[in-house]
Amino acid sequence: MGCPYSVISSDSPASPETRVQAPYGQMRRVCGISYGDVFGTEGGAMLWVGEAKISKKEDVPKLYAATEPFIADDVVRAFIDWAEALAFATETTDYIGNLPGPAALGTWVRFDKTFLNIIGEEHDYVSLEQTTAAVRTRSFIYEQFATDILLEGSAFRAAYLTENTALLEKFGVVLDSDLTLVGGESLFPKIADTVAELVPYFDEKADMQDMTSVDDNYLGQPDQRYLKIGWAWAKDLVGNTVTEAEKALALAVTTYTGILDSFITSLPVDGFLGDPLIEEEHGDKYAPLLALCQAYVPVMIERACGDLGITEGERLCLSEMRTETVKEQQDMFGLWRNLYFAKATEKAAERGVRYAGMGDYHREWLMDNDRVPDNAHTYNVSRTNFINVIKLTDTLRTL
Amino acid sequence: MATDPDAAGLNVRAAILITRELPGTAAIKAPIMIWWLGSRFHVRDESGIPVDDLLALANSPRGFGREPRTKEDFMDTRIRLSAVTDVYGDRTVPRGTVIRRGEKLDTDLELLLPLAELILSGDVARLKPTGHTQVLGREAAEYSTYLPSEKGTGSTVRRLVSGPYTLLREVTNENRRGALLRVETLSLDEGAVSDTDVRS
Repeated sequence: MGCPYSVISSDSPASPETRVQAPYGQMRRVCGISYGDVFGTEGGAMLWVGEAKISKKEDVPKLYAATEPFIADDVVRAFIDWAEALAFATETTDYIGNLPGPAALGTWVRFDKTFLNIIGEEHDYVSLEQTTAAVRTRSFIYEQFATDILLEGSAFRAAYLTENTALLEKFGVVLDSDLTLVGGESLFPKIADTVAELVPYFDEKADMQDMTSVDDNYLGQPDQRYLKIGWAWAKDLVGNTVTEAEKALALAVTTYTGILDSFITSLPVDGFLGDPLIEEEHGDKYAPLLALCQAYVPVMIERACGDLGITEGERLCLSEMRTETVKEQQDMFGLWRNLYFAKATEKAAERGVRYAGMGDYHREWLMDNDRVPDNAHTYNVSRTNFINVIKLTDTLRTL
Repeated sequence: MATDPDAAGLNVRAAILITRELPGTAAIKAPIMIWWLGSRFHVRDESGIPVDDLLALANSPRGFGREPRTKEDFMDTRIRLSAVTDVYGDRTVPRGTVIRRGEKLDTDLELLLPLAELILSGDVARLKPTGHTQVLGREAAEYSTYLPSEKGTGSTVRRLVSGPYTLLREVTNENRRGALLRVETLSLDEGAVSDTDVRS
């Protein structure tokens, strides 16, 4: 059977985490905003239950008295019924809430009550981070977080945490918990894509200016991140090799560790790889970095073709792809990433995870390839779609 | 926004090609059809690009569309999707329609209009041409404008305009040699559009 996935060509659960348990007022502070400060507390009466606007305390049934604070501020909340309003007030919901900003501040959002909610985000607009804060959940997976087991004491784990601690903490993830529970993707396809991409740069066939922070370049930032993480994994590999390709990579690490280790490990978080490398003093790093990346690529190709995180048919599909040029390698690593990610999403749905965050291209890839789990709903929260959600909130505010 | 002062008389079908090249990304090549009939338009894209990325190619302040920032974004540019996108709108109506994967989305016209207006010249009366040439058998004036950037040097936008139409729009940046956005009109047929072409 041929590979069912189109080859890109161009001229390129454990059990779900518990809800955040905090008084609502404290949650507003955790989000960094106070709705009262933004929208006022002068009895704007933005509480909707069913199709009724509730503007007086006398209209709140005694049984649901816990919802009374909701008529005292200008935050729009729209509940299907009083039972749902009470559940929200007592912080037992994880599918409704107000966005904390910066995008669409205060917008009332509603997701599926029981299924996995797949959020296809624009990273600079409504994001998974804002969504999970709004609905008050820590049950999620996110594409930037790793599904890989990061052994305690390993350089790999240390490098991953160096690069990702700030974001993990923003999501409320406890760093000494099982980090794989929030992982959406494996690090390896991303390391693979990076080392393949960097070969022509270190070989001085591509312009290292692309990797600098000049103007609106961004490429050098993620490539630096994954070079650092990849270097750490390669260091852990030394003394633990199995295949000939792994032995060659380990040899490159031990040969060049003197010149590369302090350089790579001291690169600042969120820095741009090209910024130091365009300086003359680092001209001596190009040859060893080239040797490292050239040794790395075959290891990643092997790993993709042997990845038990995808099916046998998918591994066969990857093994049939050409991997001679950088573009072909990146196409293969890109498909590897998508296949692995689809599996990770399926597993998350199986274990009852509530939210999966990914770029909107990925959401559509899952749809194109019929890989949306049966117990999942997809949401496109990009601007064109989301403007209608904002308008609904605005309408409810002004009625 | 390239608001055409003479929209009432529009009847044109144009085939355009949007090309974007950025380091680290797979090149975008989006062949797009645009139909205009008076104030109404229809845009069809078969490249699979998500709607908001398509719209950003027409309307981004830096000129290169929505640019990747994370490793995931960069790798996503190598994903090829199969969905066809149809965009319908009418300048006299505040909402337009996007149809993708069999689903209809009504949204603000102002988000959609820049895509349809890619082939329109807009108001060039206040601009001074920097040259003249021939494109698609038509006399065209060349205009060059500058899009400033917060971080440093901005981008240069070069346009070839013939009457009410933009036949070429090219964005480059002298500090980012590998960056290019090009919107090229491949064919232009006036009087070829009927009501069914612009009706959703």
